[in-house]
Amino acid sequence: MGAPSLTPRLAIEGVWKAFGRRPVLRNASVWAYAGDVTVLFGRNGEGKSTLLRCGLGLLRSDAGVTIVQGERTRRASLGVLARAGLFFLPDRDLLASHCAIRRQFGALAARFPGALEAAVLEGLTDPTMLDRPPEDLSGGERRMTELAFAEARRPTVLIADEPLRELTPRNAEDLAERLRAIARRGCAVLVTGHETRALLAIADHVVWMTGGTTHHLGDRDAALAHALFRRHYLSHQQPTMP
Amino acid sequence: MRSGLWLPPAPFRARLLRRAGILWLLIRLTLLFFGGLDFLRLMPLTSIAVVALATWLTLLDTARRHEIVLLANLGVSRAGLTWTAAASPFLLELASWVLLP
Repeated sequence: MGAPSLTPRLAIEGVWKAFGRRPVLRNASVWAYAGDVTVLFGRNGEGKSTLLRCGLGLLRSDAGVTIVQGERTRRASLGVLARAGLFFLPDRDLLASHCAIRRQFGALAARFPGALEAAVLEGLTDPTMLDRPPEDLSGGERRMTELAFAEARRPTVLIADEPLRELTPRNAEDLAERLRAIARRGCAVLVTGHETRALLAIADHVVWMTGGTTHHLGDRDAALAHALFRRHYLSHQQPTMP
Repeated sequence: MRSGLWLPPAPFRARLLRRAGILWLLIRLTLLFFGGLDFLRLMPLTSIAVVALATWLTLLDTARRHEIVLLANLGVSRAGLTWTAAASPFLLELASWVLLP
């Protein structure tokens, strides 16, 4: 199935990557659209994180391009993409563990004005957490704070690698809803993860990664109707849709 | 897209400069310990190697602390990070050339 006909705000296209002689990505592509949530599913080790990291220049790909808001680059750099409004939430440890969260929000606000005020005023994060370093927070609190940090940036493209990992089902659903709210404000959101119930509930586009390449399944209903996706990825865990 | 050299913001820049300075000092002390006073004598190639090693170790330490992605999200380019990591060792090495006999 091909990509939707909308113009994506972010496109990572035709990525090939091998670690030594072991090919991991074979012509993998993913797109993210303004106002929509795209969810990238795939079994462990299929290369979801590798695809994102290649597209953002954190790993060197063998081939592939990244296109952000129409600008095409062969050698992407997250630093340069971030200046254009992209934010990458990695699967762990976004914030510096030793540095008080307030100072890190302060650095964000200094670089991109309005960030700290927005975070505090809109209650994106518990204000008492701001004076503690991330290492003092639980895994779940840290994840919520990291998303608040990403949200405070007001990104135009948000890429979140397994943002719901280590969260309780309720917290995962809350965080997923926040991701959808970010998208509804016009941001293009691209998410990976295995929390099928929470992620399918917010998915506008579903991409399935298997065999090193990507398959664009369409919207949530189309994905749930896809026999191979159900059999090889969802297995027996058919999510009950809200 | 906005290109150019974006340096780390103030709190991170200060930490990077301090860490790089400490690493430069440790490298110089190690050379002194294993190489004796001969290694205190300043030679251009040794100085370049010491600055390069201190810079590389600072970047490794930054990666170990998971700060690379955070800084990149703040718009810091790889070049900006490298130049910041190299600044302290370079200035300290330069000061050694000026101050030491």
